[in-house]
Amino acid sequence: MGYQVKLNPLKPLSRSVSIIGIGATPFMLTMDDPETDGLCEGELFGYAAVEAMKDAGITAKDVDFYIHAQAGPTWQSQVGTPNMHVANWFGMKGKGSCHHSEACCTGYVALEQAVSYVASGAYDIVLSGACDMSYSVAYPDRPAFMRRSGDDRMFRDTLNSIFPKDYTLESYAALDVHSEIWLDEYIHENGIADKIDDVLCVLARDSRRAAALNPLSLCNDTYDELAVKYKMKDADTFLRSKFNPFLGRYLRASHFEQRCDGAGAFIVCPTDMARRCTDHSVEILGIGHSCLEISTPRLEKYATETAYRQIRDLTGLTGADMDLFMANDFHMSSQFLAAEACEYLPENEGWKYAFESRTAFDGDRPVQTNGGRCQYGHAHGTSGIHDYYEVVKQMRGEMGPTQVKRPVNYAMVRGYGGGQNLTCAILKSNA
Amino acid sequence: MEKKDIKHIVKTFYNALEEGKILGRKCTKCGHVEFPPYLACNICGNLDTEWHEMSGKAVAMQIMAPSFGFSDKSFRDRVGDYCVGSVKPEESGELVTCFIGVSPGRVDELRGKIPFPVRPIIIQEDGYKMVFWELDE
Repeated sequence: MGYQVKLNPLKPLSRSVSIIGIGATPFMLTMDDPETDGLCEGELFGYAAVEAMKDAGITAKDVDFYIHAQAGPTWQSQVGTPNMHVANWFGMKGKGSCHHSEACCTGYVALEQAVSYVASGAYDIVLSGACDMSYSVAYPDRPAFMRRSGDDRMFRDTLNSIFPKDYTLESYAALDVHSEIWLDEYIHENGIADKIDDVLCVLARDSRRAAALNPLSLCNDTYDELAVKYKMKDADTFLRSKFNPFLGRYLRASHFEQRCDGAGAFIVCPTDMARRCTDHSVEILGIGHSCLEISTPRLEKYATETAYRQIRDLTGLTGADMDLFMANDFHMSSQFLAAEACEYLPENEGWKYAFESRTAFDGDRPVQTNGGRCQYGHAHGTSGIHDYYEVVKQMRGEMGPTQVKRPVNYAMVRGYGGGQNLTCAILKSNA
Repeated sequence: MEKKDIKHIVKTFYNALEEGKILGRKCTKCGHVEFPPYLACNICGNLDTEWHEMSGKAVAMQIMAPSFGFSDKSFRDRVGDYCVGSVKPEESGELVTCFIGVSPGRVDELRGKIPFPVRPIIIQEDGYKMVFWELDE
């Protein structure tokens, strides 16, 4: 029994839209590293935007409109009009722009927004980007290069701020159940209570292996390397040690997001224009979108299924047709739960695929090949843009050591967050 | 619309708890009850609802022990033992909640009894009351 969402069918875009350029800064703890300490929002967004425009082979003059995204601009940056705070940084002074914020789903909605602007016919070339500094937070009244730690207490207050204050926050249950209520049901439906720690530790090890090979990742060491550092036998020993305690009922510290700073941007335009200007554009076939407020039990499951049904019915493609799946796994179990809900993995077998490393970047059903939110890092509103970056680069065959084994022609990107938005996009390589 | 047309929904809900009443809003078209109360019906989309006093009959649909990392310690200090999960009132949809007076050590036993009956309990908070649920044993 559960909440069944019935939405009107998703309609085809008025004109097809493709990504022609993409850019991303590394995910960083900027204030902890002398090389990056003092970096701030305008320049990070600017670097990502400039890289995306260069990647597309265009200049700022060619862009008609830009969209700025950030999860919680008041919390991180102490600003109320964030699109204006980056406005002078990438050559588009005077152009129209707007801002949106859907917490951890922001970067996924960023694509939906950009696609809508172009598909409507209002603009031909739109830049959509995000910058989040969740770790190195601004002061309210000091220059932006001066930062302070966005510590756990501040972050907990921020998490509470995504719960509606009419009734949900006062339930005292929403935050506590949120990350594990779907997993709890799945564990007991599949009778894997005695196996789930093994599954999640394998998943953490494999995801970290991908993250350590990715130059944009926050983490550059594997769990095997960490085990050596702590004089332990191997990664499994480390992952079950006191250095990786349970924070939830099933999830350990290594199964939760790692907060960080970073930016990303992409350029979209009509597909017919994209085909003329580049041979490696990526078409967006559509984006399903369902939102459930956080008082709904297992909302991640129901809204994921709904967003997936929308895009499946629109395109006629299923998860089984995909070559890559991205999940926005800020609690790591989402990798196999979401992949199963979207039929990328067989029903009730997602945990087995994860346990057998078949969902690793070098497995036969790769999921979250950048390492994901728990190992690659989570710069909240920007993470979705980095997932799209990963998909575009995988489709181009440019991911080097983490390039998946077979050609990536189709990818599904499940976005999640914002208390809570769930999106499901299907992307297709035009190469 | 005039100011007089805008009636309090949230405040009326909390004021009713002060009197020991638990209110939802019943759809005038399909009969679904929105609990807690909202303006319009989330099942059929009808735009008109009216006040409805909840029967208090409900079952627990999922139960878990509070987590180490995300439970609210001050809440446990105030109410004692509790577990988290979801409840399904007979007239309305399922929602997340706390089960007051339930030791985390009973989770495995109670999970085997789902859906098990619970009844509402109104707890005094700092300046307002809130409704939770307890076992109806």
